[in-house]
Amino acid sequence: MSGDAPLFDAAFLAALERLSLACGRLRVREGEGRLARGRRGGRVEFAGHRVYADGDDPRLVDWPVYQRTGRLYVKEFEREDERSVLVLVDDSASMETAGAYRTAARLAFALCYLAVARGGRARVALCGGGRLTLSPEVSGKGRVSRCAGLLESPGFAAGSDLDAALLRVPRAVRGGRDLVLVSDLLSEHDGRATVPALVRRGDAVAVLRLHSSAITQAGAHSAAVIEDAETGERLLVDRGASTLAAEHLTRLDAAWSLSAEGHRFRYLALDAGRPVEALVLEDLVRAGVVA
Amino acid sequence: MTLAHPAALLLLAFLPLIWWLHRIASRPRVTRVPSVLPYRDAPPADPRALRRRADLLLVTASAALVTAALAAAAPGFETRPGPIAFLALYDDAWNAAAATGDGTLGRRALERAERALREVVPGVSIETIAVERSSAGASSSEPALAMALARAHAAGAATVVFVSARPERAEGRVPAIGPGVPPLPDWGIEAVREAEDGIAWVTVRRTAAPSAADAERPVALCVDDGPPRPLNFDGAGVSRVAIGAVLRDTPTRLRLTSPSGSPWSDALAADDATLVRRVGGIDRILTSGIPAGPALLRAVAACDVELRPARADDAGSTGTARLLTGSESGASSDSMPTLFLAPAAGVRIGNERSGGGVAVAVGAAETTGADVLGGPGADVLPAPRTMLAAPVRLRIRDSALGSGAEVLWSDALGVLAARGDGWAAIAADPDAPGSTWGGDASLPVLLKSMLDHLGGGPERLLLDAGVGAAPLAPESLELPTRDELLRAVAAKRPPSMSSVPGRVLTAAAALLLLALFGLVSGAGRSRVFRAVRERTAAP
Repeated sequence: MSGDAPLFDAAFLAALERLSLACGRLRVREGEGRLARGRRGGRVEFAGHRVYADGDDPRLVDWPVYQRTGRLYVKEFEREDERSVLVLVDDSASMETAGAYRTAARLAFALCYLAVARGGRARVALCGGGRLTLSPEVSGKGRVSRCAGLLESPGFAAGSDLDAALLRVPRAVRGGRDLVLVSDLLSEHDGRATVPALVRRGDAVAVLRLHSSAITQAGAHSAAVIEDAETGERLLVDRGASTLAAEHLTRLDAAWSLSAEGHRFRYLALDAGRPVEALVLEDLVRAGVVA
Repeated sequence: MTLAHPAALLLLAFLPLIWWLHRIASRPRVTRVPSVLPYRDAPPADPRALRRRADLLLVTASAALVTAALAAAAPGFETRPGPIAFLALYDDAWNAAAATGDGTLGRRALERAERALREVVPGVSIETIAVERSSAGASSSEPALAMALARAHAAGAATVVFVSARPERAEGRVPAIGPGVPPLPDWGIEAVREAEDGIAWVTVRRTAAPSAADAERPVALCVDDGPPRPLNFDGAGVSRVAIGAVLRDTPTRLRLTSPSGSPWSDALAADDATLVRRVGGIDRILTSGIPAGPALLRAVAACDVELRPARADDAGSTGTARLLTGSESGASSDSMPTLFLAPAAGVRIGNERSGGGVAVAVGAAETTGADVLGGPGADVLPAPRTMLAAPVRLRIRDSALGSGAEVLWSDALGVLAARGDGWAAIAADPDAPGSTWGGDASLPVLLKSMLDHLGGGPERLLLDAGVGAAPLAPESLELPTRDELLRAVAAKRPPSMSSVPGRVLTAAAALLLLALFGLVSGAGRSRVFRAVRERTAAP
């Protein structure tokens, strides 16, 4: 990674600050009941006023303001989230080849930043090659850079055994966390067997699959030899193989979606070519991964 | 099959380079993907599919290179050229010059020229057209040559060669062949002039400088039978030699000579000899015995002419005129030029040959110079205050005017001075009482003018035209060399069909290169170039 552009440059960090503000407003709009469901602890802080609407709790009406202005305003509050977030980033060789790791690392850091911005704690982990490398758990924006240090030194190991890596999670961290797995899931052991176990122990799990159009470009117009970035295995594919590869990924998405629905975790396929801001504000918020 | 540029076949050395490029490009290109997992469902491909485009490129590129190399080598078939419409125009002046020998030299020369042309261009058809020359001058040959060329082209002759002893006379668009030797130097006696001291000088001009070796054998000038006088030519090719006095009655013979063995000695002997004669002017004036007055004597002396009574042996002498005054009149059959001075009334002047001459009429006695008018031939007029005593006036008949008589002086009463064929008349008497003409300069001038007229012009040396002039005719005609013939013929030779294979190959190479460009500029270009870049960048 040393030869490439900086993973977390000043522009990206500035974008994170804007991202945290935008997500904060979204969270208020959607109400905190959904965020507070099943959770305990945390602080509630005054966030601002808005015009009273029908159905609002009368207890939230700011009567002194009504006395001065003659109009009804309700007070809005924010809850400081004190939950811990663990973002698992697949740093296998396949992530490097498609250029997806850069997006994955930035997305992981953005999620950590959002978590600590809400008062929570966050840590990241690299899970390529069946290993699990954890960063220190941090709280507060000033310490989140410790997570960046781990993300900037990926191993790009050959072979991505996500099942083996995820099996190490219960022994490494306590349950009841928010677990976000960011990977291309291009492996025989893509974690589909171990994620349900994490859900069962109380973790809120979200699986984010990063896909790139470059993955299915080989064999688009002519016959070609393709080489697996992790194993070195070569295949001679004919023209039209890219279509079959795209169909394979579609079936992969369907299988993950079915598993997510059955085991109550979230699954989302993201375009690795999009900016992280767009991924967070549009895809993750729309999917409820970020509230 | 022959190759005009066999070195172009070295282009075939690039064939291994093309094969090397094909070998690199035909390797299956490996695309590194994150995982082959999505491709496992794809059926296995035929390995031959990877080499199809590269093979087509190889064949196209190789064929393009081979055809381009062969086209650059300019192959041609060794076919004998067919009959060529070839026309040789022979300079008629050459033929005429050659015919001056035994009459067969020119014909033999033409036969040899035709034989040489046929040797150079096998199968050539030769037609001989003599270029007519209206005169001996070189400049008159060009119009005749142009007409002959027009006829030749109209007859379908593709190649016209002008064969001449002096090929520089041909036009620029006509290849000319001829003896490949420089023109021979030529000498000529150009002029003879007499200095004030009576010494005659001969001018000899050289038309072309001889070679250094020939210059050692100089040309000399012989006067009559005297010894040769060497000629020293200046940078302009002019030499002047003094030959002494030339007498009036004895012509002097001039001849250019060269020592025996000079290449131009024969030509010099043929046309470079001439005669110099003294002509014109009057040396003496014969009178009938009447003594002349002092004014006339002074004027005669000023003209450097002898005035004396006539003798019996003066008949038929040259440079002699007769003076008649008063009522004297000469015989009409006498051919001696006559000067009439102050004729009396009724005297007939001139002769039957001159149309009856001039009648003298009685007129006013005196006139002044201011009243005198000059005619067309008058060189001088009397001074205005000069008194002329002329008791008579001349009456010129129309028949005399029609035969060349002209009026020199006249006044309101008539003609004072006139001249015609073999006569001259002055009505005024310089020695008459009351006349002041004897002290005027116009008298000797008019008298000299009258005497020059009677003598056929001023005294001078006359150079006769070439004696026995003959055209310059070398003894042996030199034919153009084989190289000269080849150059002349090749310049106008129609294109040979042997270049057709080269043109076909060039067109084929162009088409193949176009096809190759189309293949490479498509999907194959980036592939080939990228493959080469990847292979060459590998450690």
